[in-house]
Amino acid sequence: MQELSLNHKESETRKQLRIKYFDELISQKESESPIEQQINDIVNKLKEEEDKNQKLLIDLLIDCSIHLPFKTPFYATIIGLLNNKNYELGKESIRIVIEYLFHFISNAKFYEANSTLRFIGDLVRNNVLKLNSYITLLETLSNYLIENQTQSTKDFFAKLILGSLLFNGSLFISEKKENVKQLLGRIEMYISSRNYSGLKYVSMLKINEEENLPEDQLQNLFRIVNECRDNSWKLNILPDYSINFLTILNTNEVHEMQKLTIPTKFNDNFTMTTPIFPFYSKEYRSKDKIVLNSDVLALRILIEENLKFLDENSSQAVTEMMSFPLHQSIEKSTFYQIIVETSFAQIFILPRSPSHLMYYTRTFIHLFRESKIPPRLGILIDSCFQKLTLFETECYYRFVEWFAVHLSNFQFIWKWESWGEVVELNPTNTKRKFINDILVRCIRLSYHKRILQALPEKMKILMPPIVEPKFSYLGISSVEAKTQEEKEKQELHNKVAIKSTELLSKLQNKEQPEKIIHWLDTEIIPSIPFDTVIDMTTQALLQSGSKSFTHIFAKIEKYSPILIHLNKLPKQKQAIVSIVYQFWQKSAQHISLIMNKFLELNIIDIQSIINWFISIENKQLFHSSSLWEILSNALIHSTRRSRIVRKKKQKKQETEDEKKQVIGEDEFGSDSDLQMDVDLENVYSEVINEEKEIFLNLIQKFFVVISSHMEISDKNQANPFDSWFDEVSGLLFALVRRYHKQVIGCLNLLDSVLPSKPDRRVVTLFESIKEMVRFLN
Amino acid sequence: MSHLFLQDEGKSHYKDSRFPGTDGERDKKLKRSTTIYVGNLSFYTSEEQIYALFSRCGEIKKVVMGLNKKTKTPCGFCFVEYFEKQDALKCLRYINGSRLDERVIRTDLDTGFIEGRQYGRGRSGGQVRDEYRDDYDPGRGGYGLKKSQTMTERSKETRINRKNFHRNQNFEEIKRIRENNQKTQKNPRFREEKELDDLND
Repeated sequence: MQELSLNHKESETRKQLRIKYFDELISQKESESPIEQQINDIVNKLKEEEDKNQKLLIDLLIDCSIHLPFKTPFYATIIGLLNNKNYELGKESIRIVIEYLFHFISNAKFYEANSTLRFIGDLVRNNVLKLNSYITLLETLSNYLIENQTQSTKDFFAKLILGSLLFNGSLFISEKKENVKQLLGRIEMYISSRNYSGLKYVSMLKINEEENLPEDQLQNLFRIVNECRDNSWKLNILPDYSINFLTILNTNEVHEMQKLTIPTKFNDNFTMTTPIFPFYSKEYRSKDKIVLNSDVLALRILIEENLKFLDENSSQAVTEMMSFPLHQSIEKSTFYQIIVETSFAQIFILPRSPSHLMYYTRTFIHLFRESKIPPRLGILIDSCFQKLTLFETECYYRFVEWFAVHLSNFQFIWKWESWGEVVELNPTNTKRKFINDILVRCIRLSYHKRILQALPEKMKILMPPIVEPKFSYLGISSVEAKTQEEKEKQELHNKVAIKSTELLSKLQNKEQPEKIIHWLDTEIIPSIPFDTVIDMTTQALLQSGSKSFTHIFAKIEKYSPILIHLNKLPKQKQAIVSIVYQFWQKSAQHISLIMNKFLELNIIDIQSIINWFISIENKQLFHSSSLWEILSNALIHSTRRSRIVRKKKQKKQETEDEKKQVIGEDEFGSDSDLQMDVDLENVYSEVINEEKEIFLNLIQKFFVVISSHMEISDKNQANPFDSWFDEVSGLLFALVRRYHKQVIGCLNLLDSVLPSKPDRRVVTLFESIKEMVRFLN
Repeated sequence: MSHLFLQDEGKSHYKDSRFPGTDGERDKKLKRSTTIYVGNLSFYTSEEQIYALFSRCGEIKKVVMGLNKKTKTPCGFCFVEYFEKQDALKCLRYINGSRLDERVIRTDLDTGFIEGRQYGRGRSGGQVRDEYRDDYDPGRGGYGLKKSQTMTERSKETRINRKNFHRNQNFEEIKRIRENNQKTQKNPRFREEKELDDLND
């Protein structure tokens, strides 16, 4: 099996088979022959291959059935017809499907498990499997709901069963009604006892304490499945091809399924609690006529699975969706609306979207070939824009990142005029900030003048300034100083300006770093204050490479010994962070990339970045989007090593588990293996400790800043829960949510980061952070 | 993820004709490589733009802009090196075929940058493909070299006539000014840069 175990030769043969029999079918070439004819043709072709490569053929058919959700009934009917001719083939198919299901459940692959279970229902419909076996399978899965399992695990199984019933409930119209009733009863009992407090931590829109929690996906699914049952399990989504072959299929020998042994150790390191996309709800959909019924939900499930399974080939994912033969009861325009909404909703799923953000950009590029799609997406984007103030920080930035790249693919065409009202808003207003953030990113992807051309006249004042460096020692000041202090300052500035010009020419003439260090030690440090020397040297270095990133990186790499020589204390490292920020203050892109280069060369450490940026002195920075970008990138850079070591350790663990199964537990590895183990363990504990330090410090700094803000607000009798507080707490939640797997490692130490005698409002926030981390893990 | 439509990851459609090794060695290098070759860029696309787009898929270690061997100006390609292999693969999946500077760009896995590969290999110093192009591509210097040469031949006679007219003038100087004017008209950014250069001068 492709997912499980195929050697190289088998993989190659499988690939050949795919090309020979399936590629044309998979790529959905418009065929003029009716579908029955197509099925017959492929069945006849496959029969020829059956003797030679039965196992691979079945595997390929099952792979298609599971991973092409819109075509599952098509492949199920093929298997049904093949089973009619060859009983063994049907039996083997059941065995492999169960193997797949076990694999997906063990690895907590929900989408795949859901699709497999649905496919098993289709096998019942095509007389390959007994209905008894199917209901037994669902009952076995439901056992997880009453056992001592985590909520994530129970959600996983409840959703699997409900998803399967939604599509295959019609199988139970005349039989096993009581069993289905019991199944639903069991799920209802679980749902009513379920904890919903975590919903607010994964909601795309912020939820106030007083507000009702949004409907969770599981609740929504349960409600609609019940409605569907009341409606005699009527579902007009997937075509049932078995009807055309009933006379043949009725003569099938039907198989029993072996009992599924559910894995004892279940990977439940995830959350299944996800609110439904808020823009699905009635509140936001007064204009269109889509009713949230079983058909719509079923389509959404199929689209979500399709997007997930084909996330390495967005073009194919779109082809699969757009060529889906819709039932006549659903209008094409409704289907397009559902495609747009479902694909767009994926971007905002917390804690992380099912696929990479860029995948959705690509998906919409392909979707835009259909002219009815862009206006629908436009309406959705506008709805989101109107609700921006409610967006969770992480979702806000995802929206910004996605939309800027999206626009760059479509000549920056957008109905900018409709957002023209923002020019009258305060610069800290979320809508205005959003447009500013979009424009900053669009300029990066293009150039200033091009974006200016794309904007209507009225909105041109929103254009961010042209990015340029700010070198403070560019010339000698000739302004007459009034006081003695000013005079001294001016003298020092002029002196440094002369020296910095000298240093610049040394850097431009590619003088060796050792010589420059010597020059600084002997001529500069004795005559100029040390802090100013650091400032002058760093600025001169940044200025010398300000032409492009290649220039600056080359300069930093070559002259890093100078900066390391000058900056040994944490305070000095923080000073460097500050200098870089001042030098490139209008460009988070420059700051972020230069910081990461400094981190790479050990000129500064991540703690310096955290300490400088998250401080009450730089309080105003929290209003700027650059902070999110700089911190996120620095954290990605700093946790890279631990990610790699974690992966290595996990891989090693898997190899060891496999070995144990083969040679037994008593066998020991060689000395070199043991040494490698010890080394890996040492590195692992080292990186874990590093990570703990980073995140404890990060959270601590946030709470110090928030506590200070509370104190100042109380002193000034101002409301502490202002827009600044929203920005800071949003950033904190977003960062902790993103790194929840790392933060859980230091959860027991978290209490130590709170300031002594903390404000009760700070404690409440702190408890929410802890609750979120526990919930997400 | 299903492997039904998966391209052979780690294999590249682009083949460096000057790779110093066997196909096997090349495949081995590609399997480990974190470098992406990016083609069909505009000559005016800057490094900042490359960083802005490609960092969407992961942290970038290095960008090497492709340069015209003679003029040392960008000639429409670059190498992007990621820190991690998975990010390079994401780039192949999600960035290939998208637009940068309003041009559809192409990405391919590369064996890795070595000194010298940043230069175009065409006779003009740019990329070979730009020498055989028939179309007029303002983002890549107008017509291809061959086409320009043909056009030059055709207008030879006209130029000889004009030569008499310019006999008493500094032809080279006029030509230089004309070329400069043409460039500035093609891309507003060039104008910006030129203005800045003039100011600096």
